[in-house]
Amino acid sequence: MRPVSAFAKVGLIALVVGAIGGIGAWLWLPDWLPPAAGVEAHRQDTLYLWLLVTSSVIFAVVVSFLGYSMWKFRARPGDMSDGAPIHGHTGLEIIWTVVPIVIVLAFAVAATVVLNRNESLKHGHMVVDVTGKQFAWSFTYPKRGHLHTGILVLPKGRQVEFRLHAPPTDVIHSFKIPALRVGEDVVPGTPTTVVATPTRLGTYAIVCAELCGIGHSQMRNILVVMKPADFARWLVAQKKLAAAPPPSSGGATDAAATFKSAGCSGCHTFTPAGSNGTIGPNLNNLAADATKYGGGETAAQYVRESITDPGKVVVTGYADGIMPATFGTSLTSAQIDALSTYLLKGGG
Amino acid sequence: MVAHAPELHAHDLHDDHGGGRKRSVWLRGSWVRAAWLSAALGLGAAGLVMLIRHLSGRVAYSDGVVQTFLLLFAGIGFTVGIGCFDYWWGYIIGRPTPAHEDHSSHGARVWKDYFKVNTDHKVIGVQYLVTTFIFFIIGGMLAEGVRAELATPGLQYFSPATYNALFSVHAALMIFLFVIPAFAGLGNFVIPIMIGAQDMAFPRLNALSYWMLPVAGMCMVSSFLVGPFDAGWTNYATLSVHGPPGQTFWVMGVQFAGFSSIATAVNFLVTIVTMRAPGMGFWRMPLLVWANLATSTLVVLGTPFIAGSQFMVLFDRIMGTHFFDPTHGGNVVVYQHIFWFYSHPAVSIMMLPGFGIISEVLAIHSRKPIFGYKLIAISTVAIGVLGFTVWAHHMFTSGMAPWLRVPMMFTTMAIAVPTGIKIFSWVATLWRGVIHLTTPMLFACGFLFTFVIGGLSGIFLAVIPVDINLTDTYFVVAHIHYVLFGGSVFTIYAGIYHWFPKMTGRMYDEGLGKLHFWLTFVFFNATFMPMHWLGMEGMMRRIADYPSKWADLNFIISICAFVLGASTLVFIYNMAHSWWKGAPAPANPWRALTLEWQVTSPPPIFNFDEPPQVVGSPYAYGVPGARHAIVTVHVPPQPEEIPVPVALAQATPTQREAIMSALKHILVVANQTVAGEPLIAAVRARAAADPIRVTVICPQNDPSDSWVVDESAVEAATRARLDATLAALRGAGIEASGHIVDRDPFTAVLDVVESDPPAEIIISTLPHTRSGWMRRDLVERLRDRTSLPVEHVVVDEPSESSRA
Repeated sequence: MRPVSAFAKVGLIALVVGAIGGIGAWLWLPDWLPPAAGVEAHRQDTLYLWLLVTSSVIFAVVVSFLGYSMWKFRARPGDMSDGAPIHGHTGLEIIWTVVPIVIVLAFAVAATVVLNRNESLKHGHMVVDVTGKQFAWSFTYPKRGHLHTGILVLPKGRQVEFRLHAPPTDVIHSFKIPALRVGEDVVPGTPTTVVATPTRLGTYAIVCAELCGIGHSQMRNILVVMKPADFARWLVAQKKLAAAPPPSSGGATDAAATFKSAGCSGCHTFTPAGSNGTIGPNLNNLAADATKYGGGETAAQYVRESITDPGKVVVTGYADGIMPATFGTSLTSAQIDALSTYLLKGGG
Repeated sequence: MVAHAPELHAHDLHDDHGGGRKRSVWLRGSWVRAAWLSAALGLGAAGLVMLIRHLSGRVAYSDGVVQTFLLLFAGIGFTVGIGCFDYWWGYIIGRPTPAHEDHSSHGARVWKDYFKVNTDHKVIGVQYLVTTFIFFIIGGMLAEGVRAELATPGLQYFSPATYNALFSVHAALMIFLFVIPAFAGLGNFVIPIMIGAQDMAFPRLNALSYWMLPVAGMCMVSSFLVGPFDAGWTNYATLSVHGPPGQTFWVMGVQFAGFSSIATAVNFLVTIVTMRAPGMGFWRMPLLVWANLATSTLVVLGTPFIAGSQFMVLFDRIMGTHFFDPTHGGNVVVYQHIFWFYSHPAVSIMMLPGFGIISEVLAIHSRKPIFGYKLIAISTVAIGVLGFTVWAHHMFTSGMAPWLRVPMMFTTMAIAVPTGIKIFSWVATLWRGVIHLTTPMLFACGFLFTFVIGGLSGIFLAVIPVDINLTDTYFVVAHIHYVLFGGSVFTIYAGIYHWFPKMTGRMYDEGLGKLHFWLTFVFFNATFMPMHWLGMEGMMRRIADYPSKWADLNFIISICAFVLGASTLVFIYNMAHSWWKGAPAPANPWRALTLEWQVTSPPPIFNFDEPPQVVGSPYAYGVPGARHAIVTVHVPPQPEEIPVPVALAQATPTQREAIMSALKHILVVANQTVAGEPLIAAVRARAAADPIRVTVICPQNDPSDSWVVDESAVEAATRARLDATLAALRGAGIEASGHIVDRDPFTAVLDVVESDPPAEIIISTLPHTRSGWMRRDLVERLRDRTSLPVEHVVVDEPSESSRA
């Protein structure tokens, strides 16, 4: 066989295989990515698609030539001859320098365009403040009377600017919503922002993408995308709830909210609050445990102490230094009392 | 593995310094002194710190401070105790120069020498490789722990803190104690010989670099004793600043490993720039040397940055500085800039030497010049230079200055171009070669497959909008393993198999090598390919627990990861067993042109008797008459040896019997080609390895391709060729006898095998197309029937009048 024709033949095979791979990528990509739930996500998925198609072709070309050579030019037993003394080919070398330059430049330019479009803020966008701390997310709607919530709810079709904060004494987290294809680190001491425009109704995962300590994998939350009218109704309901005077006794509703917003639910299992964390001790039988570990203290004293000074008594099987020691200052005394009552009563 | 030096020097060289009086094991450089000095200095320093703290009214014991001093001084104590500084110390205090200047700790003669400070680059290379593989195994077991935990959702075996430590220590060991130093080890062994030097430029510094390595490894592994570091190998502040005491162990480990790395790099730079053999211009350097030159430059420029970043973390922890503390004006993101300014080039540091190995292996095992030598060399340098301009692509979502992202994307994309050039050039090197699919070649080809995937997934991650989604997911885990396992580890394997005969003087087991390759290749891809999908679906990296929708894929990945881990055992067994009992390796089993293959296996103590003269390209395979270098070997005066035929002629019948039975019997079967040069060369090559005796048989088939056959004329011609052959062999001191047999070659061979069993059979024929024997599969049939090694020699110049 003449080498030139072999070269052309393998090249052809490579292109066919690459094309099949590219078409396969086109067909399967939607299965590999979570459903795109935002404007930005769709733009990114177009980039993904072209990257996959191009990669498939390049991969097919390389592997076809590699496989063909390994098979066709393999040495027969006892063959001690040398190969053809080919030292290079200027034309080929120019081609495989220039073609990749064109490809990567095209992607870099396309990426820049997509990035600029995704991050340009439109007039009238919504703002949500996101706070990440070990190991919980909380959300504030600054233009809705600083409404503070434990989950993220957004109206469909409205661009949102998330302003990300972490307490200066905390560690880096990363606010990420895979369905919206957005994410940005939450940096102690340095506010950051990220922009997204949800366009698909539904409930989506919010995760922490940056290793933030032992509760990293539990630092999850949800995003609910509603119709604008539903969102407006939800806002009214939430504001009412927030504006309602807290029950004088430190009611269970309030305490339940504290349990969530302070991040307790990230680590502790407490069925009435619907949490099932395993980082810290299970709180379902707290009254009994308080007697067991309290060493003569009243149950209320023990629980209060465990919240404000978690290192004092560490339950067997759990490590010291994991629960933040800052709740004594970040929560009001009334909140702590309410929380303590709520926990001891098993949520009642 | 032993006897790098002529035996007559051995006992001279073992004298200790000075007057030949051997000092006590407690006082001379030894493991005993290393143990007590390490303990004494470490505990002493820690005690002193505690005393000072106590006297100044503080709590005497504080994790960070005390452990820092303990580790620093224990580490230094170890290197001093083992003897790294003995020469310099003697020099400083003016001790008389040892009688055998330089050579007292050079070269290994017995296996114990590998456990001592040694200045021979070949010994250090082996020390590096064995040490790094120990840490490779430890790091691999930590990874299996990670996969065990992830096999099913929920927490089963480890607490979240331990889980975080598993992947942190895994990555730290693999990067700092395996990939980087394994390349340093291979380079140490190979580079000086490749460039025609006697050793590295600074042999004592070289030894010190090596002995820092176990110290660094012990720091990292022993962090499990105090609460292991668990902020990932990236060790981002502020998580690392708030982390457990093991953080100190990590920081000190990085310092020792970093020092080792920098010192070795300086050594390589000076060696390569100043010690090349006459005639080896830059454009005649093998590509591994180019790669090492570029890598060493990166190490020298980059490593101080990671050392600095980790010191800053340590100071924030123990000295109350606030580099990364926003409550006191520190900046958290700054850490990442400093860290990645080293750690991106570190990717090149972990990849470029592998590229060099691949260039060597592909050219040699496909018997072809490397395609586009200059462009490959230039692209190596380009990757190194560009490597310093892309660090922030690890930080697209870090909250750094947003404008910095787009420029960094363009430079990152630019790196794809020289990388692509290399891959295309390597594939083109295979085209029209004569490809010997040996184990190193399989690993090199496997590398091309996996590295293309790693490179392409890298382009995904360079595209900012796509990276924003994929960063910190399992896609990144897949990508780094395709680059660092499919890239670096595959090339390390290729390099070790390729140079194993040179290092140990023995051949590895090819069958086990191929088994190892296929297990590694298949299960590597089965482990890491599905991680791309997990990442795209949104599974974050570094999580101990995950939603159960990913349970099936994770379970499959874990099973494959366990098999991948087990495949390493095949490698370890092959290496250990072959080193111990493998077949002796010839000087140049791959028929390579580069200099390291022109010396014995293992090489002599100072590599070359005279500086070699480099006269051409290192890759001129297939070019008639091409040479890379002229190597002069001084043949030591040998005791007068009586050639075997002479001895036999003088011997009594009983002596004769004894002599004959001590000789290895080789049976040569040839007819028309019996006087061919390649055949006689093949016999001579055997005679050079072992004392042999040869039986030559010339089966006379019916030469049916002529119309008229004059049998007596044919026999006479054959007789003449046979006699000429026997005379040539006897002239070379080989005992040879031979006869013409009047039958089919197959039965003729079986007769000899029965009456006087040979150890080996050599069959010589014309090329396949013109050989009647080959048309009848003579070689295969004999192999099947006799189970003896059968070599087939092709003689392409029919000796005179073969068709008479």
